[in-house]
Amino acid sequence: MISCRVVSTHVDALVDGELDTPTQVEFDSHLAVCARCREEAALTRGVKAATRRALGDVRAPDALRQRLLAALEATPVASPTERLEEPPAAPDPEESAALAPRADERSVARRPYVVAARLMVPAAAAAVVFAAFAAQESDDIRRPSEAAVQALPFFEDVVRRHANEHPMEVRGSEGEVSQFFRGRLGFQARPVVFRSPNTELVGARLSNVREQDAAAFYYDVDGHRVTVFVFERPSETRGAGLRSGAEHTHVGDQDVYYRRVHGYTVPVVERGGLTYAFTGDLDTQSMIQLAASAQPAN
Amino acid sequence: MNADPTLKPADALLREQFAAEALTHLDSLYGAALRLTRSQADADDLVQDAFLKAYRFFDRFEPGTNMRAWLLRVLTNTFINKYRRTHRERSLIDGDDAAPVGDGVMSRAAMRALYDPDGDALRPIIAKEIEAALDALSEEHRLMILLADVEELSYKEIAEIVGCPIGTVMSRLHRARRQLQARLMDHAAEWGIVPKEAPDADGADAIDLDAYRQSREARRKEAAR
Repeated sequence: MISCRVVSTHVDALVDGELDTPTQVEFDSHLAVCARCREEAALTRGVKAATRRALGDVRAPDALRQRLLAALEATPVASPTERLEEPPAAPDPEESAALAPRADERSVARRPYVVAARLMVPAAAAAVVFAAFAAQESDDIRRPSEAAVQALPFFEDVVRRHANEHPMEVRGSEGEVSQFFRGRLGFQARPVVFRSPNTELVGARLSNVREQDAAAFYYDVDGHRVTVFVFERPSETRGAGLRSGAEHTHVGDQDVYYRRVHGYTVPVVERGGLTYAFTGDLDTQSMIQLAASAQPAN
Repeated sequence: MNADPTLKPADALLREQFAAEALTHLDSLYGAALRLTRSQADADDLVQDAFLKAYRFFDRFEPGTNMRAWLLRVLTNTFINKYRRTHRERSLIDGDDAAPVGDGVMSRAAMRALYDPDGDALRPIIAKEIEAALDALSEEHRLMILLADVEELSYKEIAEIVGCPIGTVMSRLHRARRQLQARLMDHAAEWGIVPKEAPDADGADAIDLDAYRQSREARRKEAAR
């Protein structure tokens, strides 16, 4: 049973609907039997709704609207070399003034605070922004998975399709499932077998990963739902892109590439010219071991 | 093309397009600016700064993405770059250690009403309490509440606005909400609703479902033994 502490730590993600599906299910079954956590979730939800009601219907004054339209008339668009974010360091106001066009050339002199913002980027404030970017960079190194969310829609797509739990088109043994795919895809899709005895093929369906046709095989691994997508190796350039963004590890003499997306680990292995992508509600190490042990069924 | 006097110059068209799109989000921008600066005059100036900056860099906006989120990002950066500096004195006493807004800010009845989405009677009182409680939070935490609760942006959008990983957004928002709740409720800890210990600093406490799964697996194996 999931602990109250875990629910309490993630109560915000619960209330904001940001939990992945399997975790959501676990939370729901915990809440069903735990009054204390139910109350905490209700309170968080209640304060959130009350905050929105209290602050959400602010109306901007009409005068401001008019003022913005007037100011817009006098504002040129930025040149392509200018930056949206303030530059990270401007130790000398004179120097930053030299970098930016003069205020009087931009017809903004009537609004002194605009001039101030453009010409006197305070070093301390700029350092705050710089520190924020620096922090983001080091965080990306520590947790590459979160950078991957945007950089690699491939892995995201695998996770999304796993989480959506589309209905199965076929259920049964390895043989029956293989038979189902015969002639339906441009390649012969076969389910995999794992080394661990506590794994069972449940069913399968036709699917896609990005624009590629794929077979999706559904497994029960020690009580966890695991999906395996099988598809033809993407063309050289796309294949290289897939690997270059992924983390790399060895299991025995095998190469396994993987990414973590939305808390899911997605290992990818090659078998007989086909690509196999795995995902499920298991921790990173278990997912990698599982993927490395997979062999196409005969 | 230039010969046709009915055609507007390109920059005028761009201006109109920008104004039409951006002004639909003006209430959001103004509301956020008001809560960030806590001053009507500063809010006006901040919105104008951000609005003009967004216009100047309108070509950096990716069509099809959330324009409200993009405008809020420009506004947030403008605020951090300028207003935080201007009001540094105020920020100094604005940290997490600042005292709660007062004892017994909220009556038991008002608290009950928080659970009840249809409870209209106490709404104006609650609104005042929430405004006061929010204003007492640090800038960083106030921003989290504004973006997540008032603007209802996704964690991913908030991460892009604030410029930090999603895990950091989660832990920051967690602390912001607990503080807001604590400021709203004098009896919360006593009732056991609010955990007594606050989580640690951002990096150390990034919320991580994978870590949870690992510990769950460990327990499962322990139990199977």
